[in-house]
Amino acid sequence: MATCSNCRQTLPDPPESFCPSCGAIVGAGQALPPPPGSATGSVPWEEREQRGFFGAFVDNSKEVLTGPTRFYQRMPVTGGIPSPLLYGVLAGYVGLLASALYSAGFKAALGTTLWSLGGAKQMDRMLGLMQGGVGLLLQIVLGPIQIVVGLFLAAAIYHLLLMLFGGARRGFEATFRVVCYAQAASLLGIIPVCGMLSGIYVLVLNIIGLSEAHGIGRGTAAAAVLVPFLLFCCCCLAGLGVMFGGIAGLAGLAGEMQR
Amino acid sequence: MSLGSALRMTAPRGATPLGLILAAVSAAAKLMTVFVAATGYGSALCLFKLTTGCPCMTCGATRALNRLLELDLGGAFVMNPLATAAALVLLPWALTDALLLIRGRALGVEVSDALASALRPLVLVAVFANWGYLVAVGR
Repeated sequence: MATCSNCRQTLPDPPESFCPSCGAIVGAGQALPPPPGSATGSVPWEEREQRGFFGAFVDNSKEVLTGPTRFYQRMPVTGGIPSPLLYGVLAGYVGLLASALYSAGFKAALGTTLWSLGGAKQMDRMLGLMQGGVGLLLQIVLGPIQIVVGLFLAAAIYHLLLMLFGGARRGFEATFRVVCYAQAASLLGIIPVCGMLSGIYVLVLNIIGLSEAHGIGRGTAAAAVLVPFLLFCCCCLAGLGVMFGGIAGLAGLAGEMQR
Repeated sequence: MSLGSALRMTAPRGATPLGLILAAVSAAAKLMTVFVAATGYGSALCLFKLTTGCPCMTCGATRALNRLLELDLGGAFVMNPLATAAALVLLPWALTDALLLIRGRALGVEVSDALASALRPLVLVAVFANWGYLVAVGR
């Protein structure tokens, strides 16, 4: 039975590209040490049995938000998709709900004035829909599905771009885990009018996370994260799905202030 | 370098069925666009196009998928050639994953560094050629 030369754990048969225990690259029967700064540890969310569900969620969120570099250095790059997905959906949904509720609150208190986005009627109409009661209901009901789609779509596109830029040193799971844990920034949506800021912080966390998880430079990671937002409408759609509550709330507030 | 050594397909036990997941996510995204269209607020929501007036790299992908669902392969390629090609790759990948899932396995593709280096510029050219086409036809 082959063992990983980095952590000495038994490797699966048939062998995979990465050691499931420490994430080291496995090549030709031996494991290469992980690249500098690459992840080999655990994160609070994956210690839920010891810490408790709520405690693990809070601790994990605190660590991602306050020390993302340290967090992503410790994050295991393998171990299964369900656990980070659950965290991503929970954090994203809490942020989405908060933003949607604030948006509906702003509308109820201030009226229906909308911020005109460069005269784009389609966008104005969409914002109108999302600010209303129907929009709130849609976000509550479809929110989790929207977030799951957005997480997979974002991870797939980031990973594809990392492959193109020669930065995908780890498997898809590493990218997916980064994207899921970056949803911690969505929790900032709980603070009124911070929906947009949380969207920006998600991008920052993705850049730091991809850089640490794949052991690549910040520039390559930034290119993989920012290029799709500049050039792909499907990313805008996915991102907008998550950030619409915040955008709509901010738009309503800005429109009211312009009045 | 033979293709066999450069490109290796495996079916490791317990691996993530990525093809199946991506296909499911694509289907969910497609349903979301259908839903948005049904609300009467339009099916296209491309910030890049709204801002610049120029189609983005994935503009026409939803329409291409619609054509594919109608089994209009030619129409799909006209809408967005690269998105159509990606969908055509995803379909057998997802089906293989679905079959392997019964045995607790999933399809894994390992590409050698040499082949990856050779493919990278080709993919970049394909992406930009596809975008050029979308801009030229005003997608």
